[in-house]
Amino acid sequence: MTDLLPAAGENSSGEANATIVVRDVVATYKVRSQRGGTGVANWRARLVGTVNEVHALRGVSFTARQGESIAIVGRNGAGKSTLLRIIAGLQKPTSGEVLAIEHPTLLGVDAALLPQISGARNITLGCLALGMTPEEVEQIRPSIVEMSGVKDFIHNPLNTYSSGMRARLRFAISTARTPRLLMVDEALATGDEIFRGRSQDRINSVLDGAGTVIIVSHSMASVQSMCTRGIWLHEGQVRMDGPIVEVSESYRAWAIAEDRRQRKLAQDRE
Amino acid sequence: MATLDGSAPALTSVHERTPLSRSLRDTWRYRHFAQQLAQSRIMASRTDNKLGLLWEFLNPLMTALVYYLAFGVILGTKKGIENFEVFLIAGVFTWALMSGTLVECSETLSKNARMILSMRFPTLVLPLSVIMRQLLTWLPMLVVLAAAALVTGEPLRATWLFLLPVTVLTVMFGAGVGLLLAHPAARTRDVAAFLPFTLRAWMFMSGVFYDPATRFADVGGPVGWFFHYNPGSVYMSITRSAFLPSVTVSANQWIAAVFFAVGMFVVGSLVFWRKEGPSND
Repeated sequence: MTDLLPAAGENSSGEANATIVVRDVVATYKVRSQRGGTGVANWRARLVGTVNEVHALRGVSFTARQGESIAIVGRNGAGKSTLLRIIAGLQKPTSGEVLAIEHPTLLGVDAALLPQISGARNITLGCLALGMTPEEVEQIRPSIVEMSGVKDFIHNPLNTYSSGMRARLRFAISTARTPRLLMVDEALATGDEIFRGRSQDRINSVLDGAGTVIIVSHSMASVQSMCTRGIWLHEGQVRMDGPIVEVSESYRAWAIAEDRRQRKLAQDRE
Repeated sequence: MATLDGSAPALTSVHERTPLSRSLRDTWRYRHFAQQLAQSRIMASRTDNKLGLLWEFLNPLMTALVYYLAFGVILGTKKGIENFEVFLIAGVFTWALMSGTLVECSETLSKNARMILSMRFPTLVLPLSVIMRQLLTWLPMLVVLAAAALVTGEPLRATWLFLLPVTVLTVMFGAGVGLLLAHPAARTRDVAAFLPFTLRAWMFMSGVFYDPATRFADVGGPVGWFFHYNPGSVYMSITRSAFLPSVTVSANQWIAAVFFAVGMFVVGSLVFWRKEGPSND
Protein backbone atom coordinates (compact mmCIF):
# COMPACT_ATOMS: atom_id res chain seq x y z
CA MET A 1 0.00 0.00 0.00
CA THR A 2 1.45 3.37 -0.94
CA ASP A 3 0.63 6.27 1.28
CA LEU A 4 2.06 9.59 0.19
CA LEU A 5 0.17 11.53 2.79
CA PRO A 6 1.19 13.17 5.98
CA ALA A 7 -0.69 11.51 8.81
CA ALA A 8 -3.95 13.11 9.83
CA GLY A 9 -3.37 15.76 12.46
CA GLU A 10 -0.02 16.83 11.05
CA ASN A 11 0.00 20.45 10.05
CA SER A 12 -0.36 19.83 6.35
CA SER A 13 -2.31 23.06 5.82
CA GLY A 14 0.94 24.94 6.24
CA GLU A 15 2.14 23.68 2.88
CA ALA A 16 2.43 26.50 0.41
CA ASN A 17 0.73 24.82 -2.54
CA ALA A 18 -2.07 22.95 -0.82
CA THR A 19 -5.52 23.77 -2.22
CA ILE A 20 -7.71 21.28 -0.36
CA VAL A 21 -6.95 19.53 2.89
CA VAL A 22 -9.23 16.65 3.90
CA ARG A 23 -8.69 15.56 7.49
CA ASP A 24 -10.04 12.36 8.96
CA VAL A 25 -13.50 12.77 7.44
CA VAL A 26 -16.12 10.39 8.78
CA ALA A 27 -19.68 10.26 7.42
CA THR A 28 -22.42 8.19 8.97
CA TYR A 29 -25.97 8.17 7.68
CA LYS A 30 -29.09 7.15 9.51
CA VAL A 31 -31.28 5.21 7.13
CA ARG A 32 -34.81 4.06 7.78
CA SER A 33 -34.89 0.38 7.00
CA GLN A 34 -38.02 -1.42 5.87
CA ARG A 35 -36.94 -4.78 7.18
CA GLY A 36 -39.81 -5.38 9.55
CA GLY A 37 -38.89 -8.72 11.05
CA THR A 38 -41.40 -11.28 12.22
CA GLY A 39 -43.13 -12.21 15.42
CA VAL A 40 -45.13 -10.26 17.93
CA ALA A 41 -42.06 -8.78 19.61
CA ASN A 42 -41.18 -6.88 16.43
CA TRP A 43 -44.52 -5.09 16.07
CA ARG A 44 -42.84 -1.71 16.35
CA ALA A 45 -40.28 -2.45 13.65
CA ARG A 46 -43.05 -3.65 11.36
CA LEU A 47 -45.19 -0.60 11.95
CA VAL A 48 -42.68 2.24 11.59
CA GLY A 49 -39.52 0.48 10.38
CA THR A 50 -36.11 0.48 12.02
CA VAL A 51 -33.22 2.92 11.79
CA ASN A 52 -29.90 1.63 10.49
CA GLU A 53 -26.54 3.34 10.52
CA VAL A 54 -24.58 3.35 7.28
CA HIS A 55 -20.88 4.17 7.46
CA ALA A 56 -20.20 5.91 4.16
CA LEU A 57 -16.76 7.25 5.09
CA ARG A 58 -14.57 5.89 7.89
CA GLY A 59 -11.78 8.45 8.24
CA VAL A 60 -10.52 9.79 4.92
CA SER A 61 -7.49 12.12 4.74
CA PHE A 62 -5.55 13.60 1.86
CA THR A 63 -4.09 16.90 0.66
CA ALA A 64 -4.64 18.19 -2.86
CA ARG A 65 -2.17 20.62 -4.40
CA GLN A 66 -2.07 23.25 -7.13
CA GLY A 67 -2.23 21.88 -10.67
CA GLU A 68 -3.22 18.41 -9.52
CA SER A 69 -6.01 16.46 -11.14
CA ILE A 70 -7.15 13.67 -8.90
CA ALA A 71 -9.32 10.70 -9.79
CA ILE A 72 -11.28 9.08 -7.01
CA VAL A 73 -11.91 5.48 -7.98
CA GLY A 74 -13.67 2.62 -6.28
CA ARG A 75 -16.73 0.42 -6.54
CA ASN A 76 -20.30 1.58 -6.20
CA GLY A 77 -21.02 2.43 -2.61
CA ALA A 78 -17.37 3.03 -1.68
CA GLY A 79 -18.29 6.57 -0.56
CA LYS A 80 -16.99 8.49 -3.60
CA SER A 81 -19.99 10.76 -4.16
CA THR A 82 -20.42 11.41 -0.44
CA LEU A 83 -16.77 12.46 -0.23
CA LEU A 84 -17.21 14.79 -3.19
CA ARG A 85 -20.27 16.46 -1.66
CA ILE A 86 -18.48 16.90 1.65
CA ILE A 87 -15.47 18.48 -0.06
CA ALA A 88 -17.80 20.80 -1.95
CA GLY A 89 -19.25 21.91 1.39
CA LEU A 90 -22.74 20.69 0.48
CA GLN A 91 -22.86 18.09 3.21
CA LYS A 92 -21.38 18.13 6.70
CA PRO A 93 -19.12 15.29 7.80
CA THR A 94 -20.05 13.46 11.00
CA SER A 95 -16.52 14.27 12.17
CA GLY A 96 -13.31 15.58 10.63
CA GLU A 97 -12.82 18.69 8.54
CA VAL A 98 -12.19 19.99 5.05
CA LEU A 99 -10.10 23.11 4.44
CA ALA A 100 -9.88 24.78 1.05
CA ILE A 101 -8.57 27.97 -0.56
CA GLU A 102 -12.10 28.72 -1.83
CA HIS A 103 -15.44 26.97 -2.02
CA PRO A 104 -15.03 24.14 -4.52
CA THR A 105 -17.51 24.08 -7.41
CA LEU A 106 -19.31 20.77 -7.82
CA LEU A 107 -20.36 20.24 -11.38
CA GLY A 108 -24.10 19.98 -11.07
CA VAL A 109 -26.23 23.02 -11.92
CA ASP A 110 -28.45 20.24 -13.15
CA ALA A 111 -30.66 20.74 -10.13
CA ALA A 112 -31.43 24.39 -10.94
CA LEU A 113 -32.47 23.62 -14.51
CA LEU A 114 -36.17 23.28 -15.20
CA PRO A 115 -37.18 20.81 -17.94
CA GLN A 116 -40.29 22.71 -19.05
CA ILE A 117 -38.56 25.98 -19.93
CA SER A 118 -36.25 26.85 -22.81
CA GLY A 119 -32.50 26.29 -22.94
CA ALA A 120 -31.95 30.04 -23.14
CA ARG A 121 -33.94 30.65 -19.98
CA ASN A 122 -32.16 27.77 -18.28
CA ILE A 123 -28.82 29.40 -19.09
CA THR A 124 -30.00 32.52 -17.25
CA LEU A 125 -31.28 30.47 -14.32
CA GLY A 126 -28.18 28.28 -14.06
CA CYS A 127 -25.70 31.16 -14.28
CA LEU A 128 -27.60 33.21 -11.69
CA ALA A 129 -27.57 30.12 -9.47
CA LEU A 130 -23.78 30.16 -9.73
CA GLY A 131 -23.81 33.69 -8.36
CA MET A 132 -23.35 35.71 -11.56
CA THR A 133 -24.99 39.10 -12.06
CA PRO A 134 -27.52 39.51 -14.93
CA GLU A 135 -24.89 41.52 -16.86
CA GLU A 136 -22.31 38.76 -16.48
CA VAL A 137 -24.86 36.23 -17.71
CA GLU A 138 -25.43 38.19 -20.93
CA GLN A 139 -21.67 38.53 -21.48
CA ILE A 140 -21.05 34.84 -21.07
CA ARG A 141 -24.18 33.58 -22.86
CA PRO A 142 -22.70 33.34 -26.41
CA SER A 143 -19.81 31.20 -25.23
CA ILE A 144 -22.16 28.84 -23.38
CA VAL A 145 -24.42 28.46 -26.43
CA GLU A 146 -21.33 27.83 -28.55
CA MET A 147 -19.80 25.30 -26.17
CA SER A 148 -23.05 23.40 -25.64
CA GLY A 149 -23.57 23.09 -29.38
CA VAL A 150 -27.36 23.07 -29.04
CA LYS A 151 -27.64 25.82 -31.71
CA ASP A 152 -31.24 26.33 -32.96
CA PHE A 153 -32.69 24.30 -30.11
CA ILE A 154 -31.79 26.99 -27.63
CA HIS A 155 -35.34 28.41 -27.51
CA ASN A 156 -37.02 25.02 -27.21
CA PRO A 157 -37.97 23.59 -23.83
CA LEU A 158 -35.28 21.47 -22.21
CA ASN A 159 -37.46 18.35 -22.11
CA THR A 160 -37.37 18.20 -25.91
CA TYR A 161 -33.55 17.82 -25.90
CA SER A 162 -31.69 14.54 -26.25
CA SER A 163 -29.90 13.43 -23.10
CA GLY A 164 -26.56 14.23 -24.71
CA MET A 165 -27.67 17.77 -25.51
CA ARG A 166 -28.91 18.27 -21.98
CA ALA A 167 -25.63 17.03 -20.55
CA ARG A 168 -23.65 19.36 -22.83
CA LEU A 169 -25.70 22.38 -21.85
CA ARG A 170 -25.37 21.49 -18.19
CA PHE A 171 -21.61 21.15 -18.41
CA ALA A 172 -21.28 24.36 -20.42
CA ILE A 173 -23.25 26.30 -17.82
CA SER A 174 -21.52 24.92 -14.77
CA THR A 175 -18.03 25.56 -16.13
CA ALA A 176 -18.87 28.90 -17.75
CA ARG A 177 -16.68 30.61 -15.22
CA THR A 178 -13.37 28.89 -14.58
CA PRO A 179 -13.34 27.92 -10.92
CA ARG A 180 -10.09 27.22 -9.09
CA LEU A 181 -11.39 24.06 -7.51
CA LEU A 182 -13.59 21.91 -9.73
CA MET A 183 -15.28 18.69 -8.62
CA VAL A 184 -16.74 16.45 -11.30
CA ASP A 185 -19.00 13.49 -10.64
CA GLU A 186 -18.53 11.54 -13.82
CA ALA A 187 -22.09 10.29 -13.76
CA LEU A 188 -23.00 13.87 -14.70
CA ALA A 189 -20.35 14.47 -17.35
CA THR A 190 -21.61 12.32 -20.17
CA GLY A 191 -21.38 13.24 -23.82
CA ASP A 192 -19.95 12.41 -27.20
CA GLU A 193 -16.34 12.57 -28.39
CA ILE A 194 -16.34 16.25 -29.42
CA PHE A 195 -17.82 17.15 -26.10
CA ARG A 196 -15.27 15.08 -24.23
CA GLY A 197 -12.53 17.09 -25.92
CA ARG A 198 -14.16 20.34 -24.87
CA SER A 199 -14.51 19.18 -21.28
CA GLN A 200 -10.84 18.28 -21.29
CA ASP A 201 -10.14 21.89 -22.38
CA ARG A 202 -12.15 23.24 -19.47
CA ILE A 203 -10.40 20.96 -17.01
CA ASN A 204 -7.03 22.01 -18.42
CA SER A 205 -7.89 25.67 -17.98
CA VAL A 206 -8.58 25.01 -14.29
CA LEU A 207 -5.22 23.29 -13.96
CA ASP A 208 -3.44 26.07 -15.88
CA GLY A 209 -4.82 28.53 -13.36
CA ALA A 210 -3.09 26.52 -10.64
CA GLY A 211 -6.37 25.04 -9.50
CA THR A 212 -7.29 21.49 -8.62
CA VAL A 213 -9.70 19.11 -10.30
CA ILE A 214 -11.20 16.11 -8.54
CA ILE A 215 -13.05 13.59 -10.68
CA VAL A 216 -15.13 10.68 -9.43
CA SER A 217 -15.12 7.96 -12.02
CA HIS A 218 -15.88 4.35 -12.84
CA SER A 219 -14.15 4.45 -16.21
CA MET A 220 -10.42 3.84 -15.87
CA ALA A 221 -9.73 4.80 -19.48
CA SER A 222 -11.03 8.37 -19.25
CA VAL A 223 -9.39 8.88 -15.87
CA GLN A 224 -5.93 7.78 -16.97
CA SER A 225 -5.83 10.38 -19.73
CA MET A 226 -7.21 13.20 -17.60
CA CYS A 227 -5.65 12.75 -14.15
CA THR A 228 -2.23 12.71 -12.56
CA ARG A 229 -3.08 11.19 -9.23
CA GLY A 230 -5.46 8.50 -8.09
CA ILE A 231 -7.17 7.83 -4.80
CA TRP A 232 -8.76 4.42 -4.41
CA LEU A 233 -11.62 4.44 -1.98
CA HIS A 234 -12.70 1.11 -0.55
CA GLU A 235 -15.54 0.74 1.95
CA GLY A 236 -15.18 4.30 3.13
CA GLN A 237 -11.42 4.29 3.52
CA VAL A 238 -8.43 5.26 1.35
CA ARG A 239 -6.95 1.98 0.18
CA MET A 240 -4.33 3.54 -2.04
CA ASP A 241 -3.15 7.02 -2.95
CA GLY A 242 -0.48 7.67 -5.59
CA PRO A 243 0.30 8.26 -9.27
CA ILE A 244 -2.70 7.47 -11.44
CA VAL A 245 -0.98 4.68 -13.37
CA GLU A 246 -0.11 2.72 -10.24
CA VAL A 247 -3.46 3.23 -8.59
CA SER A 248 -5.53 2.33 -11.61
CA GLU A 249 -3.38 -0.74 -12.30
CA SER A 250 -3.78 -2.03 -8.76
CA TYR A 251 -7.48 -1.22 -8.77
CA ARG A 252 -8.01 -3.02 -12.06
CA ALA A 253 -6.10 -6.08 -10.86
CA TRP A 254 -8.13 -6.13 -7.67
CA ALA A 255 -11.42 -5.66 -9.51
CA ILE A 256 -10.68 -8.58 -11.86
CA ALA A 257 -9.69 -10.84 -8.95
CA GLU A 258 -12.76 -9.75 -7.00
CA ASP A 259 -15.01 -10.43 -9.98
CA ARG A 260 -13.50 -13.90 -10.38
CA ARG A 261 -13.98 -14.61 -6.69
CA GLN A 262 -17.63 -13.54 -6.81
CA ARG A 263 -18.31 -15.73 -9.83
CA LYS A 264 -16.67 -18.71 -8.19
CA LEU A 265 -18.78 -18.18 -5.10
CA ALA A 266 -21.90 -18.09 -7.22
CA GLN A 267 -20.84 -21.26 -9.05
CA ASP A 268 -20.11 -23.06 -5.81
CA ARG A 269 -23.55 -22.19 -4.57
CA GLU A 270 -25.08 -23.79 -7.63
CA MET B 1 -3.93 34.05 -10.67
CA ALA B 2 -2.62 36.63 -8.27
CA THR B 3 -2.18 34.33 -5.30
CA LEU B 4 -0.27 31.80 -7.35
CA ASP B 5 3.27 32.72 -6.50
CA GLY B 6 4.57 33.81 -3.18
CA SER B 7 1.71 34.30 -0.77
CA ALA B 8 -0.34 31.14 -0.49
CA PRO B 9 -4.09 31.68 -0.23
CA ALA B 10 -5.44 30.93 3.22
CA LEU B 11 -7.15 27.62 3.81
CA THR B 12 -10.52 27.90 5.50
CA SER B 13 -13.09 25.31 6.46
CA VAL B 14 -15.70 24.69 3.76
CA HIS B 15 -18.26 23.89 6.45
CA GLU B 16 -17.93 27.09 8.43
CA ARG B 17 -21.18 28.82 9.41
CA THR B 18 -21.76 32.13 7.67
CA PRO B 19 -22.64 35.03 9.99
CA LEU B 20 -26.14 36.51 9.66
CA SER B 21 -24.97 39.75 8.07
CA ARG B 22 -23.18 37.81 5.34
CA SER B 23 -26.12 35.48 4.77
CA LEU B 24 -28.37 38.50 4.27
CA ARG B 25 -25.88 40.18 1.94
CA ASP B 26 -25.49 36.94 -0.06
CA THR B 27 -29.25 36.55 -0.27
CA TRP B 28 -29.54 40.09 -1.63
CA ARG B 29 -26.79 39.32 -4.15
CA TYR B 30 -28.83 36.29 -5.30
CA ARG B 31 -32.10 38.25 -5.65
CA HIS B 32 -32.03 37.97 -9.45
CA PHE B 33 -31.80 34.23 -9.13
CA ALA B 34 -34.78 34.20 -6.77
CA GLN B 35 -36.78 36.29 -9.24
CA GLN B 36 -35.79 34.18 -12.24
CA LEU B 37 -36.65 31.00 -10.34
CA ALA B 38 -40.05 32.43 -9.37
CA GLN B 39 -40.91 33.42 -12.96
CA SER B 40 -39.57 30.20 -14.45
CA ARG B 41 -41.55 28.04 -12.03
CA ILE B 42 -44.77 29.89 -12.91
CA MET B 43 -44.04 29.41 -16.62
CA ALA B 44 -43.07 25.78 -16.10
CA SER B 45 -46.30 25.04 -14.25
CA ARG B 46 -48.37 26.44 -17.11
CA THR B 47 -46.63 25.23 -20.27
CA ASP B 48 -48.60 21.99 -20.46
CA ASN B 49 -51.92 23.86 -20.49
CA LYS B 50 -53.43 25.18 -23.70
CA LEU B 51 -54.59 28.35 -21.97
CA GLY B 52 -51.12 28.93 -20.52
CA LEU B 53 -50.69 32.00 -18.36
CA LEU B 54 -54.40 32.83 -18.71
CA TRP B 55 -54.82 30.32 -15.89
CA GLU B 56 -53.32 32.87 -13.53
CA PHE B 57 -56.64 34.72 -13.92
CA LEU B 58 -58.91 31.73 -14.46
CA ASN B 59 -57.70 30.00 -11.31
CA PRO B 60 -58.75 32.69 -8.78
CA LEU B 61 -61.90 33.44 -10.79
CA MET B 62 -63.07 29.84 -10.68
CA THR B 63 -62.07 29.43 -7.04
CA ALA B 64 -64.25 32.43 -6.21
CA LEU B 65 -67.13 30.99 -8.24
CA VAL B 66 -66.98 27.60 -6.52
CA TYR B 67 -66.94 29.18 -3.05
CA TYR B 68 -69.82 31.44 -4.00
CA LEU B 69 -71.89 28.46 -5.16
CA ALA B 70 -71.09 26.44 -2.05
CA PHE B 71 -71.50 29.04 0.66
CA GLY B 72 -73.50 31.85 -0.95
CA VAL B 73 -76.08 29.83 -2.87
CA ILE B 74 -76.25 26.34 -1.32
CA LEU B 75 -75.42 26.87 2.35
CA GLY B 76 -76.54 30.48 2.48
CA THR B 77 -74.04 31.82 5.00
CA LYS B 78 -74.45 35.31 3.57
CA LYS B 79 -77.20 36.31 6.01
CA GLY B 80 -76.63 39.85 7.21
CA ILE B 81 -73.45 40.39 5.24
CA GLU B 82 -73.42 43.30 2.82
CA ASN B 83 -72.06 42.54 -0.63
CA PHE B 84 -71.38 38.88 0.21
CA GLU B 85 -69.69 38.30 -3.17
CA VAL B 86 -66.82 40.71 -2.49
CA PHE B 87 -66.74 39.72 1.20
CA LEU B 88 -66.26 36.08 0.23
CA ILE B 89 -63.75 36.57 -2.61
CA ALA B 90 -61.62 38.95 -0.53
CA GLY B 91 -61.51 36.34 2.24
CA VAL B 92 -60.73 33.40 -0.04
CA PHE B 93 -57.96 35.23 -1.88
CA THR B 94 -56.30 36.63 1.25
CA TRP B 95 -56.37 33.18 2.79
CA ALA B 96 -54.88 31.73 -0.40
CA LEU B 97 -52.04 34.26 -0.28
CA MET B 98 -51.32 33.56 3.39
CA SER B 99 -51.62 29.77 3.33
CA GLY B 100 -49.89 29.48 -0.05
CA THR B 101 -46.88 31.40 1.21
CA LEU B 102 -46.91 29.39 4.43
CA VAL B 103 -47.07 25.97 2.77
CA GLU B 104 -44.51 26.74 0.07
CA CYS B 105 -42.06 28.29 2.52
CA SER B 106 -42.36 25.20 4.72
CA GLU B 107 -41.51 23.06 1.67
CA THR B 108 -38.43 25.02 0.58
CA LEU B 109 -35.95 22.62 2.14
CA SER B 110 -37.74 19.32 1.59
CA LYS B 111 -38.67 19.98 -2.06
CA ASN B 112 -35.33 21.49 -3.08
CA ALA B 113 -33.13 18.91 -1.37
CA ARG B 114 -31.44 17.96 -4.65
CA MET B 115 -30.64 21.56 -5.47
CA ILE B 116 -29.28 22.22 -1.98
CA LEU B 117 -27.12 19.09 -2.25
CA SER B 118 -25.63 20.07 -5.58
CA MET B 119 -25.09 23.82 -5.33
CA ARG B 120 -23.86 26.32 -2.82
CA PHE B 121 -26.08 29.34 -2.38
CA PRO B 122 -27.71 31.08 0.59
CA THR B 123 -30.79 28.97 1.32
CA LEU B 124 -32.78 32.09 2.29
CA VAL B 125 -33.00 32.63 -1.49
CA LEU B 126 -35.57 29.84 -1.68
CA PRO B 127 -38.22 31.46 0.57
CA LEU B 128 -37.44 34.78 -1.12
CA SER B 129 -38.31 33.16 -4.43
CA VAL B 130 -41.52 31.73 -2.94
CA ILE B 131 -42.54 35.20 -1.76
CA MET B 132 -41.89 36.68 -5.19
CA ARG B 133 -43.94 33.97 -6.88
CA GLN B 134 -46.80 34.40 -4.43
CA LEU B 135 -46.81 38.15 -5.06
CA LEU B 136 -46.84 37.50 -8.81
CA THR B 137 -49.89 35.25 -8.51
CA TRP B 138 -51.51 37.72 -6.07
CA LEU B 139 -51.64 40.47 -8.70
CA PRO B 140 -54.20 38.72 -10.94
CA MET B 141 -56.24 37.98 -7.80
CA LEU B 142 -56.27 41.69 -6.95
CA VAL B 143 -57.46 42.48 -10.47
CA VAL B 144 -60.30 39.95 -10.18
CA LEU B 145 -61.14 41.30 -6.73
CA ALA B 146 -61.19 44.95 -7.88
CA ALA B 147 -63.31 44.03 -10.90
CA ALA B 148 -65.78 42.20 -8.64
CA ALA B 149 -65.98 45.24 -6.36
CA LEU B 150 -66.63 47.65 -9.24
CA VAL B 151 -69.17 45.33 -10.90
CA THR B 152 -71.13 44.95 -7.65
CA GLY B 153 -71.34 48.74 -7.34
CA GLU B 154 -68.56 49.54 -4.88
CA PRO B 155 -66.91 52.83 -5.85
CA LEU B 156 -63.18 53.42 -5.94
CA ARG B 157 -62.28 54.49 -2.38
CA ALA B 158 -59.17 55.79 -0.65
CA THR B 159 -59.35 52.68 1.53
CA TRP B 160 -58.14 50.64 -1.49
CA LEU B 161 -54.71 51.80 -0.35
CA PHE B 162 -55.05 49.30 2.55
CA LEU B 163 -54.31 46.63 -0.06
CA LEU B 164 -50.64 47.54 -0.03
CA PRO B 165 -49.98 47.05 3.70
CA VAL B 166 -52.25 44.01 3.92
CA THR B 167 -50.35 42.32 1.07
CA VAL B 168 -47.02 42.89 2.79
CA LEU B 169 -48.29 41.83 6.23
CA THR B 170 -50.08 38.70 5.00
CA VAL B 171 -47.02 37.49 3.09
CA MET B 172 -44.69 38.25 6.01
CA PHE B 173 -46.87 36.32 8.43
CA GLY B 174 -47.29 33.32 6.12
CA ALA B 175 -43.58 33.24 5.31
CA GLY B 176 -42.66 33.49 8.99
CA VAL B 177 -44.76 30.50 10.02
CA GLY B 178 -43.60 28.55 6.95
CA LEU B 179 -39.94 29.25 7.72
CA LEU B 180 -40.42 27.94 11.27
CA LEU B 181 -41.75 24.69 9.84
CA ALA B 182 -39.17 24.28 7.04
CA HIS B 183 -36.52 22.40 9.03
CA PRO B 184 -38.94 20.07 10.86
CA ALA B 185 -40.62 19.38 7.51
CA ALA B 186 -37.28 18.47 5.94
CA ARG B 187 -36.55 16.08 8.80
CA THR B 188 -39.87 14.25 8.86
CA ARG B 189 -42.53 13.95 6.19
CA ASP B 190 -45.14 13.83 8.95
CA VAL B 191 -45.09 17.64 9.26
CA ALA B 192 -46.14 18.07 5.64
CA ALA B 193 -48.83 15.41 6.16
CA PHE B 194 -50.36 17.21 9.14
CA LEU B 195 -50.22 20.70 7.68
CA PRO B 196 -53.22 20.57 5.29
CA PHE B 197 -55.59 19.46 8.08
CA THR B 198 -54.32 22.09 10.48
CA LEU B 199 -54.69 24.77 7.84
CA ARG B 200 -58.19 23.70 6.90
CA ALA B 201 -59.32 23.78 10.52
CA TRP B 202 -57.71 27.20 10.92
CA MET B 203 -59.42 28.45 7.76
CA PHE B 204 -62.87 27.38 8.92
CA MET B 205 -62.30 29.08 12.28
CA SER B 206 -61.09 32.26 10.61
CA GLY B 207 -64.37 32.96 8.87
CA VAL B 208 -63.71 32.83 5.16
CA PHE B 209 -67.44 32.67 4.48
CA TYR B 210 -68.86 34.22 7.64
CA ASP B 211 -67.96 37.19 9.79
CA PRO B 212 -66.32 36.00 13.02
CA ALA B 213 -66.56 39.49 14.52
CA THR B 214 -70.38 39.44 14.49
CA ARG B 215 -70.93 35.69 14.89
CA PHE B 216 -68.80 35.44 18.04
CA ALA B 217 -69.36 39.03 19.23
CA ASP B 218 -70.54 38.04 22.71
CA VAL B 219 -67.97 35.29 23.33
CA GLY B 220 -65.50 36.43 25.96
CA GLY B 221 -62.28 35.07 27.39
CA PRO B 222 -59.49 33.50 25.37
CA VAL B 223 -61.93 32.11 22.79
CA GLY B 224 -63.33 35.55 22.09
CA TRP B 225 -59.83 36.94 22.02
CA PHE B 226 -58.87 34.30 19.46
CA PHE B 227 -61.74 35.20 17.14
CA HIS B 228 -60.90 38.86 17.45
CA TYR B 229 -57.14 38.76 16.92
CA ASN B 230 -56.57 35.50 15.01
CA PRO B 231 -54.14 36.65 12.29
CA GLY B 232 -55.92 34.45 9.77
CA SER B 233 -59.10 36.49 10.04
CA VAL B 234 -57.50 39.88 10.75
CA TYR B 235 -55.72 39.93 7.35
CA MET B 236 -58.96 38.90 5.64
CA SER B 237 -60.84 41.68 7.44
CA ILE B 238 -58.31 44.29 6.31
CA THR B 239 -58.63 43.21 2.66
CA ARG B 240 -62.43 43.32 3.01
CA SER B 241 -62.35 46.71 4.68
CA ALA B 242 -60.49 48.10 1.67
CA PHE B 243 -63.55 47.48 -0.51
CA LEU B 244 -66.46 47.35 1.94
CA PRO B 245 -67.21 50.21 4.36
CA SER B 246 -69.41 47.79 6.37
CA VAL B 247 -66.31 45.86 7.50
CA THR B 248 -64.32 47.71 10.13
CA VAL B 249 -60.91 46.87 11.54
CA SER B 250 -60.13 48.22 15.01
CA ALA B 251 -56.86 49.94 15.86
CA ASN B 252 -56.00 47.00 18.11
CA GLN B 253 -56.54 44.59 15.24
CA TRP B 254 -54.20 46.65 13.06
CA ILE B 255 -51.59 46.52 15.81
CA ALA B 256 -52.06 42.74 16.09
CA ALA B 257 -51.73 42.42 12.30
CA VAL B 258 -48.39 44.26 12.29
CA PHE B 259 -47.17 42.52 15.46
CA PHE B 260 -47.87 38.99 14.18
CA ALA B 261 -46.43 39.71 10.73
CA VAL B 262 -43.19 41.33 11.83
CA GLY B 263 -42.76 39.00 14.81
CA MET B 264 -43.29 35.77 12.89
CA PHE B 265 -41.21 36.95 9.96
CA VAL B 266 -38.20 37.87 12.09
CA VAL B 267 -38.42 34.77 14.30
CA GLY B 268 -39.03 32.45 11.32
CA SER B 269 -36.13 33.87 9.31
CA LEU B 270 -33.76 33.65 12.27
CA VAL B 271 -34.69 30.05 13.05
CA PHE B 272 -34.38 29.14 9.38
CA TRP B 273 -31.00 30.85 9.08
CA ARG B 274 -29.62 29.38 12.31
CA LYS B 275 -29.90 25.90 10.86
CA GLU B 276 -28.71 26.97 7.43
CA GLY B 277 -25.82 25.30 5.75
CA PRO B 278 -25.01 21.72 4.98
CA SER B 279 -26.74 19.07 7.02
CA ASN B 280 -25.18 15.84 8.11
CA ASP B 281 -28.05 13.55 7.28
